[in-house]
Amino acid sequence: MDNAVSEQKSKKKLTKKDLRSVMWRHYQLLGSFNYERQMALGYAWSMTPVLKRLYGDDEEQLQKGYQRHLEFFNCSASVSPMILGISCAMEEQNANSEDFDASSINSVKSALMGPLAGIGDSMFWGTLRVIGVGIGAPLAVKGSILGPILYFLINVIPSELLRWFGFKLSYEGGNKFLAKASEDGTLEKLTEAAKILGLVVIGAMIASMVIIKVPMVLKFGGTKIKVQETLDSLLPDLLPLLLTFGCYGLLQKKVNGTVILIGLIILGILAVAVGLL
Amino acid sequence: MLQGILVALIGGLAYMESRIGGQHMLDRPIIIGPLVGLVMGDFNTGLVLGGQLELVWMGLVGIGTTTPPDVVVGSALATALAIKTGANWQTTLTLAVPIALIAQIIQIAIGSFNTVFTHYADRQIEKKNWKGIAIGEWGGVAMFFLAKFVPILVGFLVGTPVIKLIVKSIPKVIQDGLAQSGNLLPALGIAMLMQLTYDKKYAPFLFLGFALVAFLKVPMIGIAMFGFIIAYVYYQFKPQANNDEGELL
Repeated sequence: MDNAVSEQKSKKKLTKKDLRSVMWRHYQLLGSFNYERQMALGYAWSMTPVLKRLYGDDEEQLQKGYQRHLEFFNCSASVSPMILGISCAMEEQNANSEDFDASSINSVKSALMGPLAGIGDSMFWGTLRVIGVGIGAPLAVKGSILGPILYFLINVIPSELLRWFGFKLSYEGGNKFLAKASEDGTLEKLTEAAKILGLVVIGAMIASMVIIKVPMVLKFGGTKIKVQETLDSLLPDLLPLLLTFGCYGLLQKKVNGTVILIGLIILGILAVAVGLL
Repeated sequence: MLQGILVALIGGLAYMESRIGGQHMLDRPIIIGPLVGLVMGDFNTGLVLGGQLELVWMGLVGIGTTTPPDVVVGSALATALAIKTGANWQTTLTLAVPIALIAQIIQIAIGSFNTVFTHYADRQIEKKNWKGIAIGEWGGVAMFFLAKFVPILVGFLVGTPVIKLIVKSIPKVIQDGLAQSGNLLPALGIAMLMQLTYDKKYAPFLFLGFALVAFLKVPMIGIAMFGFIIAYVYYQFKPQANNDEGELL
């Protein structure tokens, strides 16, 4: 409390406008993506309003700030605002306190980007996008404009909510919460939960989207056996299941996806030629 | 020519969504298809083709540094050419594959080239020229845009006569075969999705989803609800990783 008065005098505070400006810039995180430092330039670009506000009167500090945020960064787009929010809060602290360790800003960034990318990727790439495709693509194939619209909404709304709330929460002191959540396994649990939801949908897709109907009828003396009916009595959609796991097995063996794709095209043509499909 | 420019613009701008629009997964066939259909004067075909290409390519996503075949160029160009030449969607797909592969090379080249802009920004900050950040950022953006716009436009202008020739010369058996292949191909898309999440530990959840559809014909929105409930229950009952690991197992 001793230096509360002097702190008050020199206290640098980010305005709402600065923070909103960081949020608008974060949409461009991937703008200058490259294999070497990935989103680094986008991160520095996003932090610009904050750095200018806090260190605008001190060129040395401003330079150090930019150099900090030009370090390697990569995360999932929708969860990145949470890390940006913490960076903003920590830069603010750094600007107001002589003995703040500026290198901790980057340590926190790199400590969080892995776990958060894990949950972001499984939530948005592996779950919501999959649900979006599962609902949207069959509708589009049938010629319904609802297909792309639902796909759009499923992907945009949750992502936007997480971005803006995540940024706000993490700026206002989510630092400790996130560090704790990352340490005690909450993030890991969330990632797992997202994976489970994704897998249920993926399993459903196998039965609903891979279509294999065998028209072949086998004749043994007087009895006719409809192949498809026999297969269905074993397990409905058995062939789609086998085919999908076959593809998965090949992918696991590092067979190139494009090779499999061409193989499937040839398989389809051959199957029609011999009357299997 | 104007149509070609518009199609290339759609591809380029849809891709920009993933670069400077926040990456809401909108640079996908299911979005690009209908938009291309719109400027090609056949919205409905574009919509259907987009849906079909999405089913096949849903597993092709670039997470982290992996660069898959270029779905943006492939779907924009293939959809446009299919509408222009009247090809069916299976033919469209066989066109889209080589196109996407060629465009993938361009994409990798750009991802490597763009390091130039980060190094440029480094040097400018060293000189205390703060504008270096903005120039580096938007330089990268421009390269990414051109990497989609140019191949689509060139492909559109060069491709049409070539495609017409190919489509005419495909025999009936092959065309029917391609139609069936189209039904098989989602298996590959799904298998690619599985690579993101599947392992033996989680296998029951995949089979649960499968069984709900195979036996009960639950529609996809219902599947999403079941999945959400199960994921929620799992989250609630699984102990924290650090303390009491495995208490409930």
